Amino acid sequence: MNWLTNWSPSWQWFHRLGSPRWFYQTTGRWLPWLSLLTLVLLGTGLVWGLGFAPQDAKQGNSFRIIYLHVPASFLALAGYYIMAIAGAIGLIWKMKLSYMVMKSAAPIGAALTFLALFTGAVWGKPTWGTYWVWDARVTSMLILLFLYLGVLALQYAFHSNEAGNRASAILALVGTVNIPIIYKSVDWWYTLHQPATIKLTSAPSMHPDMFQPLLVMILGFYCFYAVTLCLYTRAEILRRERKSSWVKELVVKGQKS
Amino acid sequence: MNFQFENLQQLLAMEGHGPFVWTAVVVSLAVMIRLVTKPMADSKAAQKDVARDIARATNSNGEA
Repeated sequence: MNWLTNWSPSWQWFHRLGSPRWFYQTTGRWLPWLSLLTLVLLGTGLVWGLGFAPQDAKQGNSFRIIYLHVPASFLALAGYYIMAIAGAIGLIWKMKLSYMVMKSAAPIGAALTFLALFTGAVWGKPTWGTYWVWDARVTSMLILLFLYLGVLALQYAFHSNEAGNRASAILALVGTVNIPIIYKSVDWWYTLHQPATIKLTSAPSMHPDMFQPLLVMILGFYCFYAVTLCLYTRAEILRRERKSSWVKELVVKGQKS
Repeated sequence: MNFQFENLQQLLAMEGHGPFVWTAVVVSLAVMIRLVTKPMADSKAAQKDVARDIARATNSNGEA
C-alpha cells in the first residue's frame, strides 16, 4: 500500500491526519476558539428563536421547538456520515485515528438522535395531539438511534479492539442505507411529519424572520458537534496512547504547570 | 424585530405551549452539557492513570 501514501507530497496531509499526536495538538489549539464560537452562536440563536422570532400563524409558540429539533436532526444525520466515512477509512487504510473518530461519533450521534426524537415528541403533542406516531420519518429516526447504539455496543462486544472496530465500521456502512430513507420519508410515504423546511434547491418555506435564527442555530450545532467530536476523540487518544512517550510528556508537563 | 412577550410570565407560559417548549429546551441543554463534560472527565481520568503509571515506574526504579 506504500504507493498510495508515498507517490505524491499531497498525501502528506493524509498521513499526518492519521497521527493521533498531531490531531491532539492541533485540536488543542483550535478548541478554545471553536468553543467560544459555539457558545456565541447557540446563545444568540436560542434567545433570538425563543424570544424574538414571530410566532407561527398555525402552530403558535410550540413551533419554537424547531430551533432545537431541526439542528439536532441535521447533526444526527450528518454525524452518521462522519461515523460511516471514518469507519470506511479505518477499514481501507487501517488508520487508528479514524477508528477513534468513528467510536467517538457514536455516542454523540446517539445523543443527538435522541434529542431529535424527544424534541419532536414534545412538539408533536400540541400540534398532532400525540407524542408518538409510528410513521415513516419518526420510525426511520428510531432505527438511526438503534444503529448508533449498535455501533457503540459492538465496540465492547469483542475482546480485541481491532475486531470491534471492524465490526462497528461494517455496521456503520451498512446502516447508511437508512439515511436517504430518512430524508425521503416525508415525500415517499403519507406522514404526519411536515415536509422539509430547508431545501438546497429552493427558497426556504419559512419567513426570513423565523429562518434567520434557525440558520444561526444550525451553524451553532455544527460547531457544537465539531467541539464534542474533538473532545471525545481526544479522550480516546489519551486512553489508547497512554503508554506512548508523548502522552507521558504531556502529563508530566501538565503536572508542572 | 421585537421581543414577542410582555413579561417573564408570558415568556414562560407561551400561551399554553410553555411546558412543551421549555421541556425541549431544558432537556436539550442538559444532554448537550453532558456531551461536553463526559469526554472532559474521561480525559482527566486518563491523564490521572498515566500520572500514576509514571509515579509507579519511578518508585520501582528507585528501589532497584
